Amino acid sequence: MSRVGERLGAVLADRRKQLNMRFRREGRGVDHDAFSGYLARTVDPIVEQVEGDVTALVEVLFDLGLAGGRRGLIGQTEATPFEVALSTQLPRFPLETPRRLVISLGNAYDRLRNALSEATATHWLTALADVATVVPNVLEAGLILAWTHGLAEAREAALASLERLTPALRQRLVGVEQVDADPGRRFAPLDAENALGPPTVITRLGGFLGFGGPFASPPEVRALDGHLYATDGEVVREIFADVYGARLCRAPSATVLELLDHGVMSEGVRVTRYGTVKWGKQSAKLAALDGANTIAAVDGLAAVTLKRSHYVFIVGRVPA
Amino acid sequence: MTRQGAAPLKPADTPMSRFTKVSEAPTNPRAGTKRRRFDVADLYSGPLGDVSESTEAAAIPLDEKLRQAYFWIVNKAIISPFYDIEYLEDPPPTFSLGERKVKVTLPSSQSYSSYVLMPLLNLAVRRRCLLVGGPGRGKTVIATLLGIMSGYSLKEIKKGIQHGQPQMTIADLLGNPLPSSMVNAKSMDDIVIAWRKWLGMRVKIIDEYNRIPTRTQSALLTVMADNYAEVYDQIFECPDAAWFLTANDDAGGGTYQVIEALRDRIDIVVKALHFNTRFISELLQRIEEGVSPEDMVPPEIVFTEPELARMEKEIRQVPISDSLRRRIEFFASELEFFEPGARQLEYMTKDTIKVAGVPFEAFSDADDGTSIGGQTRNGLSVRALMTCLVFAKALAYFRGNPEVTFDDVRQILPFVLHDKLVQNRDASFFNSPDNEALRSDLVSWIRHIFDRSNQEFDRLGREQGDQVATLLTQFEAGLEGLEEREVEKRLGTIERALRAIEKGGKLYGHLFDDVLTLKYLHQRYTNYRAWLRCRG
Repeated sequence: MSRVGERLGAVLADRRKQLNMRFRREGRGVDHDAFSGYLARTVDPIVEQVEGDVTALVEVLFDLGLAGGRRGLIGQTEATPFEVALSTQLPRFPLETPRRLVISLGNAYDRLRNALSEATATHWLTALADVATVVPNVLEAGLILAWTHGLAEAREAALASLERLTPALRQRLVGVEQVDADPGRRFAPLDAENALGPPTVITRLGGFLGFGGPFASPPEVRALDGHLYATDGEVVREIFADVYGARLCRAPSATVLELLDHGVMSEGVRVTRYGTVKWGKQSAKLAALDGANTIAAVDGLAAVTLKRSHYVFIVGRVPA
Repeated sequence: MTRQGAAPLKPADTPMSRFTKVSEAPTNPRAGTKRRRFDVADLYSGPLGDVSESTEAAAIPLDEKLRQAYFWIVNKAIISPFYDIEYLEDPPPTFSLGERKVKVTLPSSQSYSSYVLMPLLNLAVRRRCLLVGGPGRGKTVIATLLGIMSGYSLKEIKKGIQHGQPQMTIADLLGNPLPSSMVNAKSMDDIVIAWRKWLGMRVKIIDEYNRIPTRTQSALLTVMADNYAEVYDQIFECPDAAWFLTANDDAGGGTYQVIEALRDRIDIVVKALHFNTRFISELLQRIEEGVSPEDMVPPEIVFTEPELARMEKEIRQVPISDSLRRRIEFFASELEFFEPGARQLEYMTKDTIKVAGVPFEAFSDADDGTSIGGQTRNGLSVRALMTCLVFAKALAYFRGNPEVTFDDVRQILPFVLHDKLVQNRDASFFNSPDNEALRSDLVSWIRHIFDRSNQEFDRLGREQGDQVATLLTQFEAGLEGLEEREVEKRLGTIERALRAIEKGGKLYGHLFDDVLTLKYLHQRYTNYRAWLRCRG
């Protein structure tokens, strides 16, 4: 069994009965030696770096080890990237409410690594630790940074959070003091001031189910209640995109039939079957959109599908 | 060439296509249904647990807290690994097992165990829930847990449980007069009653209510029905409470027959499901740890009294669309009508023959039992209808829906109507081998008749054209300023509508209520016309 330092050892001894009960209850399938290894290599260094009473912190890290193992966040024989990041960064956070913080960070990390990548999640945790002691609300700052790291669906919530911050903090988090929330400029860097150019293909999302995408057949796009969706008749995905990234997310609130009955292809934006996009007064012929069959747009974000493609093409306007 | 619209996609062809067809109707974007935006909580909630510091708990919406309570109970407290309340988002995998081709569906959306969900909803709407099943199936445990979730300690709950037994007297149940006041009293008003503490509790648990003697049941009825207790002319007004009663079988037997009025006050009936032996390891763990779920209720899912009151109010506000309401009306209308039972139209109901004490079989041309109405011996009372609506709202609220959906109604009806809808077991419908099981499986039977009712609703095109609904809406706009000529016109429309029904031949349940409604409207307009003429 791995040995731990004096401080962690004291807490484990003091809370032995409760922690053993937790292990029996929540730790089915968890290997004792692997768990001991986690305590020694990850929890112990954190505890050594934190001042004051660490009991609550140890308890939540204990629980994290039990639940995180099942998610692959905690390693069996060696530290995972999450453990490395956590042991380095967690002592840099304010730890007045350790349970809330640690569980939130773990869940957010898990979400980011699944949605984006492990490297992005690690980078996010480091970036958040850099600002943890200067922001009024660490979790709101985490949301903003999640957005700037590519979690496009967090855009609106992040912009709302940014509005509540001081200009100095906005500068620290997103690089500008004043954020232009004009949705029409969503594909422009926040510090860009140039006028926007004609529509262009930003990226494509989706793909065939057989190759890891969500769509079994070529999807179509619709707008509904200010949201943008793609559906192949069986699954529905909501479309999010801006300068920081583009994402297709499951859409539990929208059903296929809702979209068919009430979804629209938007006013003010058109695409011809030859790939010419007409957006307001701007137009552009985009070779990638040859064979287009549907287009829908909300707030500066357009999505186009092709008759014979399983992808959704994101179209927007970037600074000229 | 600019293309305005794409060729419509076809929804996936599934065995459950009738559900997708119905779900089109209530969708109403004009109602301003806001689609939920991503927020902070979405980023930080997940498989590692939910944030639950006390300051955060205060900010959690009550429907979310209710869901948290449910999942805590099913994951940590009661071992109920069942999902008999099935919701489907995408077409589910289905399997046919065994010689009888038992259908097993793997639900594609979040589904629930009735044994936990229904009592929890009962707590939320503060009604009366009966838990039935054999001894040792956790009926009292779940009631106790819900009592603790209402803010009571385990000790208070245990003291408050009323245990039905053959020697239970009214005084045992309600309280005794203080002997000193009895001696000194000059009138009944002077008598002081030492009321039982449980009367003042917001969660009331009656264990084995079918072992309470009949006389004492009557005293219990007063408390359940009218929310007060009376002893020696002294009244104790009880606070609103959620009731949980247990019984060992649902035949209402046991040691004493349960009086019908008391049975009728039960709002929802839940059966204790059997214990899945694959989960004995969980029992073993409980034994080894020496803990019981009542000791472990987390404070985050304990509701305060203001929270319970607010939650009940929020539940009542959950809307039911007109379209869905009409389907419920249609279903209910199919049940009461009994043409051979009377001569006067208004009395042609199953209640008429029941009150007269005449059996169904005495009527030679009674419904042969193949229709929905023929499968029941009674219709739905006002109380039953109101209970259905309240619980449907509660289920929608629990699921976080902005309004009640068709599936919410379909799921809740069998539990609310379980003891209220009396099956006509002699109906020929049940003689078919495919339907035999529905004699005992009342939940599936009620779902079946609701589904059939909706098929009939669709076949008749009631969604698109419901003249009686149109006339009612017109009437409800008011009579003020209506000229006699317009009144005559409306009277003519009503009479033509009745002629059309006359030509249709057989009088069905839904037409019965339609005809009575038309008669009502005709009478109202006739009275108004008389008033106009009188006024000159």
